[in-house]
Amino acid sequence: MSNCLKYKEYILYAAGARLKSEVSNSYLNWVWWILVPALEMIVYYVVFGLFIKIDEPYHPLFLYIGVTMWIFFSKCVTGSVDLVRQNRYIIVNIFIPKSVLLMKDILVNVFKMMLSFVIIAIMMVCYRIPLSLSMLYFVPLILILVIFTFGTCCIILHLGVLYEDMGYIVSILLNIAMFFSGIFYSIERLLPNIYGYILGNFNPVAFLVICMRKAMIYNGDVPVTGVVIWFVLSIVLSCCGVCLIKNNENNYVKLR
Amino acid sequence: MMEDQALTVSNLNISYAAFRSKRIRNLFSERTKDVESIHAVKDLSFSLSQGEVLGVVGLNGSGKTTLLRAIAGIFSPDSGTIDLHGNRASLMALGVGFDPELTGRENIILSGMMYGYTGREVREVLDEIISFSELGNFIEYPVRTYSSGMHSRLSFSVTSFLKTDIMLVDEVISVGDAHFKEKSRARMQEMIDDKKHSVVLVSHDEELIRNTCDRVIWLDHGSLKMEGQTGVVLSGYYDFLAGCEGV
Repeated sequence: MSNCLKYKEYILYAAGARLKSEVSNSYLNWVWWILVPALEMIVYYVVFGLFIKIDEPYHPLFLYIGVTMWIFFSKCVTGSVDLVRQNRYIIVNIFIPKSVLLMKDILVNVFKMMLSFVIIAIMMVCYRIPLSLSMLYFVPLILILVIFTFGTCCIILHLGVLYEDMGYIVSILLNIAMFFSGIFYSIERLLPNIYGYILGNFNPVAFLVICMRKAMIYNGDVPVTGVVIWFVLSIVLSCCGVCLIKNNENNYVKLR
Repeated sequence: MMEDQALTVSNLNISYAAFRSKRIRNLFSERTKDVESIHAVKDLSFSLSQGEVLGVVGLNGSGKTTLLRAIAGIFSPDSGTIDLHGNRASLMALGVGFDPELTGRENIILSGMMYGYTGREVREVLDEIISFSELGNFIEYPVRTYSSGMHSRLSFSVTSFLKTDIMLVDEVISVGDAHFKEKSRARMQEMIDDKKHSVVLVSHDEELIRNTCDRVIWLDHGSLKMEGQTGVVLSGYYDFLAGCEGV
């Protein structure tokens, strides 16, 4: 927390600089940040909606919410594996908490995710989805997703320093996790009761995606107990992750 | 007496290989063991007074750079302590955190903040940095468009204008063309001599150490071989080197 406050200005400036730097040479500039999830949504809609005939109410919105949240999670996790190696010149020359480098990367992805949610909001207006109180869950759900992702990334960052193979393992695990997170199908409707229940409640990304869809487009009941439990677990995971990094980060530079 | 001290290093030990990266297929085999452990700094103790310039000499691989990195907080000691007495210690390094897509001006701010300075502190010296770098209008151009000389000038300027209490110098840096090389060398000399900073200077330049340092320590295979007056330690060190060459 103290690192977060001490380096607050750096995190904000560096995240802004990274966003600017990422698109400085591309023709479509920041439009890519919207286009990527939008194109993925279209691909899933064509494959699952039109070819396989899986139908969900407000299907494009259903997919866009899932894809947006998944892209955020998977990009952050993938980036954290090699974070220390990629910043080797920095970490051998100055002391900077590695969790600060991680926070900067996560903030960049939070910004892109928020941009996608602006498009989702516009689509909701086009679909004439009525305003409801359940939409207020948007803030805590995003907060839990960010905190859970940060905790996961801290642990992956540490393992990524220790084991060279982590990049491959994480990529495979993320592929498996995507299929079990209900990004392009409804876990509750398509999986048998018990499997649907387990995945929908014990897989945090699936749980958050389901809740977000309920809150934003279906005006459904968001399970408050589940939200509170995952909030607490995400905080615990993040605290453990930060402690893990803090206790070991001055040895990362000894990596040969 | 302690009030005068800028830095106290006590019984410092640093080893490598504690975090040797592993391949998962070797996890359960004999090769998992960290057999290659390098004891880079061994039971080292010394102190540095406020405004003092301490030279560090020794052969390549004697632990000089590791020592500087440990003082800067980059390495953690395996045992022993490094007490900075509340001072800020920074290793002088060029171009840390530079992003080639950003302008020179943006990179100055980014690099400064990465060193732990606030935006306000960096902006206070921004004009001085730009002026010293002599980059003119290029300061508003992306750094990727710079020649290597221009890149070096900008990075040296950033490093040399950010205030720190203890300067950790791994060889005096002089960069750029002949004119800027002289300018940067003079700037480094000015910073070392001004007695506002305490300095730990690692160098293989005998003349520089002799003319600059108040005191010298000589490291040999990570251990303190000799500590004392500059002339005395340098005589011992260069006699030792002459002996090595004669063998």
